[in-house]
Amino acid sequence: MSLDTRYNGHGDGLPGNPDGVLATAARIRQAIETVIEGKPDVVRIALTVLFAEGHLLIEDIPGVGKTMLAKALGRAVNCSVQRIQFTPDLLPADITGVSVYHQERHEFEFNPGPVFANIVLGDEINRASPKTQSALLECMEETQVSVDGATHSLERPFMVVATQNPADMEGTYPLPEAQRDRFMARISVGYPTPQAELDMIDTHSSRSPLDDLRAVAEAADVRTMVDHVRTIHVASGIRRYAVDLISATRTSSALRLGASPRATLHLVRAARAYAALEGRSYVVPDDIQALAVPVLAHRLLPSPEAQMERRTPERVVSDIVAHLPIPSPR
Amino acid sequence: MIAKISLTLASMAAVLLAMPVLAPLISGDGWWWTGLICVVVVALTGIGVRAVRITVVLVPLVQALTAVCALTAMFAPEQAVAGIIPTPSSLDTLLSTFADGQAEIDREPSPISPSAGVTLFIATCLGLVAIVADFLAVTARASALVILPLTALLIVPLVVEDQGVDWAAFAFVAVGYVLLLAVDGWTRNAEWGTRVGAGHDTVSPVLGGLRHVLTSAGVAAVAIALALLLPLAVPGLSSNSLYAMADGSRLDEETMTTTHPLVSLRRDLTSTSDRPVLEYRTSMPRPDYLRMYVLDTFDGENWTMSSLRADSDNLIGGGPLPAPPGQTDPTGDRVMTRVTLAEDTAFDFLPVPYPPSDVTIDGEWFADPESLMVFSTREQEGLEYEVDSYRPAPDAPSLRRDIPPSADLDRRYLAVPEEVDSRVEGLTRSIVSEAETPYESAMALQNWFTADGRFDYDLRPPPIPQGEDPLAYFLFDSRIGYCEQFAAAMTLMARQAGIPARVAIGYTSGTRGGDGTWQVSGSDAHAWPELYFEGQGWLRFEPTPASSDGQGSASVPSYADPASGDGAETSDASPTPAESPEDSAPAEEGVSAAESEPSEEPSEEPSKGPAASGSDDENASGGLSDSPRWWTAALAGAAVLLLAAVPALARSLVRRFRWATAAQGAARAHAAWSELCDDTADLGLVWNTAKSPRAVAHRLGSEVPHSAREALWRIAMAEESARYAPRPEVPKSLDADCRTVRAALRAAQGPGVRLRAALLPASVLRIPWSGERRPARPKTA
Repeated sequence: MSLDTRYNGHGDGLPGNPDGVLATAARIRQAIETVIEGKPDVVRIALTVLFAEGHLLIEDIPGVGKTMLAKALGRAVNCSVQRIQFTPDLLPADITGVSVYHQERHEFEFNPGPVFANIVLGDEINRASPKTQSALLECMEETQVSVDGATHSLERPFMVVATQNPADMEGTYPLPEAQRDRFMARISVGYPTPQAELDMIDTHSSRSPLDDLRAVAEAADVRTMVDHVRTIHVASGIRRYAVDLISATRTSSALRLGASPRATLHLVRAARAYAALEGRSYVVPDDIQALAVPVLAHRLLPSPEAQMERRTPERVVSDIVAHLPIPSPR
Repeated sequence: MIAKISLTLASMAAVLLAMPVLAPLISGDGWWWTGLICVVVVALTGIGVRAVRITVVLVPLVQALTAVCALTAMFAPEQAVAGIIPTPSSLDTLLSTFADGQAEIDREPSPISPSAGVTLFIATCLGLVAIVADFLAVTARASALVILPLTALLIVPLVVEDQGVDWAAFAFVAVGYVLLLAVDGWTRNAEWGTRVGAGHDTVSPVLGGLRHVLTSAGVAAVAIALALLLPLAVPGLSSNSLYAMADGSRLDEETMTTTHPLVSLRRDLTSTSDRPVLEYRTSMPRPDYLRMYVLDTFDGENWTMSSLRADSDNLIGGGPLPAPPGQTDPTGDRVMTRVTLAEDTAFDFLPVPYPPSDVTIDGEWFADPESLMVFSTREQEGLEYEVDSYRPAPDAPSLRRDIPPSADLDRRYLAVPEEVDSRVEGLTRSIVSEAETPYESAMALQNWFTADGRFDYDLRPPPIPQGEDPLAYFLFDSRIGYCEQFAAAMTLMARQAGIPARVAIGYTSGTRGGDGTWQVSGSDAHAWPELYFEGQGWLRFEPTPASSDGQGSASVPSYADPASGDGAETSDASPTPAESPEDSAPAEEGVSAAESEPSEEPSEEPSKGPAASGSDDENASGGLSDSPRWWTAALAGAAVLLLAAVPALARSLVRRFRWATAAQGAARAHAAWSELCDDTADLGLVWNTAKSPRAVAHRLGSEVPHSAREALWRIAMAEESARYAPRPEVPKSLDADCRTVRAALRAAQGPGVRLRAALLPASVLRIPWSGERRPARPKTA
C-alpha cells in the first residue's frame, strides 16, 4: 500500500484555516520523528488516532520504544500528560481518583486520579488485574469518570495510549476482546532498521532525545484539528466499501470473531483523520486500505483452523483487503 | 480424509458411468458385474490404503494387487488359496483366459458374446482405468485429467463401431465427469474456504460451497456442450453420429463424410459368424454378388477409395442411374432385387448387384457415376430397397477382341506404385505370356490363383515377418490367405498386365432360404477384383478358392469360368452352390488366438490409411467455373477481413461513444478512467478490483516513461476525485492524457501484444454487466 503523500488530491478549501491546521499536524509529526526514528508509518497512525479522538494500543516486545512513542506524543503537544504504570496490585481508584472526607469542610472531596489528563499513558496495561483494566477502559469509552454518584467530565482532547507486551509473555493478563475493541488502533513499533539503531547509539547514549523535545502545538490546536477531521467528506462508495470490509471479516472462515459495528465507526473516523493528515478533504479507498490492519486486526479472533495454519488476523485482514472489490462508483 | 473419500467415490462413479459405452460391443450382460466389482474393489482399496497413510506412490500398486485378487476370486478360485489369494497356477489360468479373451475380441466383429475371456479382459481394462482415474483424481488432485482414462474407454466404441457412441452412453460419461468435477470443487471449497466476496452479496458458507460446486460443474458442462456443438457449426467436422471415425473430405459442393469402410469390414471379411446381415428376393435363380465398395487406389501398402462427391447431380431418385462406364450396349437380363437389412445392421454404402440401373430407396442416397457405388452421408438402419440391375453377360466374341481401354477411363485404374516388389511384375509377365487378349490375360491370372494346391485358403494367414512386403510374401512364400489377399493380388497383377482393375468389396450371393429368399450373413463378406474391358465395362473375377476349402458362398461368373467352355451366354452354368456358411470357416480349435495381431495383416489391409486420395477432384473443379470462383474468393477474402476488423471497430466505436456522452466534470473523469481500464485490458495488463485508482496508477506508472506518468496520475486523480470528493475537480486535458498514456503503454509492450490489442481488444469481449474486471493477478506486479 502506498503511503506516498506526493500525489494528494487538491481538495477544495478547508474550513477555518486548514493550512494552519495541517502545518500544526506536520510539526507534531516532525517532532515525534526526532525521537522515534525510521518509523514514519507508526507515527502517522498514532497521529491519526489522536485526531480521530480514538485510543491507541501499542503492542510489542519490551524495549522497542513503545513508551517513548507515547511520551513523545504527549511532549510534542503542550497538554497534560499522565503516566500510569500498571501493576498487578493497582486498584481502580488509583486510576479514576477517590473521594476523601474533608475534615474541615465536613464533606467529601473528589481527588482526581491520573486519568484526568489530555494524554494518558497506560504502561504495560496487561499487567494489571482485569478489574483495574476495565476501570480505565470505561473512562476511555465514556470520556467521563463516575465516582460515588458524581460524574466528572474529562477534558478534550482525551487519548489513552496503552502499551502492552505480547499476550504470551510472563505475568500478563491478556486484554479481553471486548476491551481491545475500545482501542481505535493497535500498532507495533517493531525493531529499528540497522542504520536507525546505529544512529540511536550515537544520540541516545549521551542523553535522551525526549529531553530536547519541545511542545510544538497546543491542546487547542489539536481540538481544531479534531473539528476539521469531522468535516472530511466520506462518499457513499467509501461507506459501502468500509461496510463490505467489515462484513468480509464476519464471513471469513479464517476468523472466529469478526469486527463489531464499533469497528466500522472507528474505521471511518480513522480514515477521515488519515485523509486530513494527507491534506485531502475527502476519504479515498487507499485510506481505508492503509488503516484496515491497524484498526481491525486486534479485534478479531482467528478460527482454530487459521490458528493451526499460523494465519494471524493481520494476514487475514490484508488478504481480504487485497481481494475485496472496491465498490464501483456507478 | 472426507475429501479424499468423496473424491475416490466420485472417480469410481465416473468410471462406472462410463461403462455403458461398452454395452453395444458386447451382446450379453455377464460382463457388467465383473467390471463393476473390479472398479469398486479398486476404489475401496484406495480408501482403505489412504486411511493408513502409506506413501501415495504405493496406492496404485496396492490397488492393482487387490484387483488381481478380485479377478482371481471371480475367474480362477479353484487354483487360488482360499479362493482369493493368487497362486502361480491361478495366475496362469488368468493369463491364458485373458489371452483367449483378447484373441476373441480381435477376431469377432462386434457385438461379441461375453465369454469368460472377454469378461476378464473387460474387467481388467476397467480396473486399469479405475486405478488411473483414482490416481489422477485423488493422488494427483487433477480431477480434470480423469477425462483421459474416460476417453480411453470412449475411444473403443468409436474405433470399433462405425456409428460411434450412443448419445445416452455419452451423456452418462459426461454426467460422471461433471459429477467428479463438482465433488472436486466441493472439496476444494471445504479446504480453502470460499472466495472473499463483497459484503453486500454475502452468502452463507453452505451457499458459498454450493456456488463453488456449481461453478466447477458448470464450467465442465459448458465445455462439454461446446465441444459437442462446435464441430456441428464447422463444416468438414460435422458427422452423423458422435464422432464416428470420420474421414471428412472437403468436396466441391457439399461435404461428404464417409466412414472408413474397411475398419469394420476387415473384421467381417475374416468373420465366421452367421449373424444375418441382410436378406433379399431376386428374380434370378442364381443371383450375383452384392457390391458395396470399390477400392481403386493402391499406395503400395493399402487399397483405398478415392473420395466421393455427394452433390445434387448424383442424388438418386427421379431417373435411372448413370450408364455403367465402358459398356457400349448393355446386354443381359434385367434383374430385380429387393433387399431388406437385418435389424441391427446399418450401412452407408448399399450392397447392390453390379451394374445397378435404378435404385428405389427412401432418404438421400447418391450414386457415384464412375463406380456406381450407392452411398449416403450417414449410416442408416432398417433399410429396404429395390435394385434394378443387368446381369452382365458379355458375348464371347466381343470379350475376345483386343481393344485398348478408352482414353476416358481414369489412369488410376492402371497405376502400379513403385514400391511393389519387382518379382511380382516378373510373375505377372510369366503368367500372361501366352495370352493374346486382355480377357485371356485375366483368365490366365484367375486360373493361376485357383489352380489346385497352389494357394491355401485360411482366414488367419500366418504372420508376415518383419520387413517383408506383405504382397510378395503372400505370392511367393506363404501362399496362404483369404479373399482380401486374393482379390488385391489379382487386381494388382491385372494392372501390371495392362488391364484396368479395382478391388470390390461386398457380399457374395449368400445362401438360399426355404421360402425363396436369399440370406446373407457376416461370413459372406467378400472381396473380389473387377477388371475393365472396353465395350463390356467392369466385370468381376473370382481368384479366391470357393466351396468348403475357401470362401463358402463364392462363385465364379459364367464368363470367367473355364469349365463353361466359351463362357458366354450360359450364364447360369457355374456358380458353386453355397454350402452352409459354417463350413467355410477353417477349423477353429488348435489355432493360437494370439496369432492374429493387427500388425500381421497382409498388404491389402487398408485400415491404416484414410480413404482420401482426392486425385480426381481437380477434374471437376477446373474449367468453366474459373472466373466466378475468383470473385467468390475475393468476396470471401473481403468478408474475412471485414470480420477480422469488427473487434477493432467496436473498440473504436466504444471510445468515441464514451467521449461523446461524457459531458462535464465527473463524467469525463469516469470516461477517461474507463478508457484507461479498457486500454490496459486490451494490452493484457489486468489488476484485480481491490485496487483503488491511485494504486492502479502507481502500478502502471512503473510501465510507462516519466512523460506519461504525469498524465496517468491526472487520470487517476480525476477518477478518484470524481468518485469520492464532494466537489470533484477534473482537469480539462483528460482526453489528451488518455492518448498519451495509451501510446506509452503500447510502446512498453511487445509487437505481438500490440497486434493482439489492435485486432482483438479484450475489452470489447468483456461482459459489460459483470461489473468487474477479471480478478486475475496483475501480470507485471
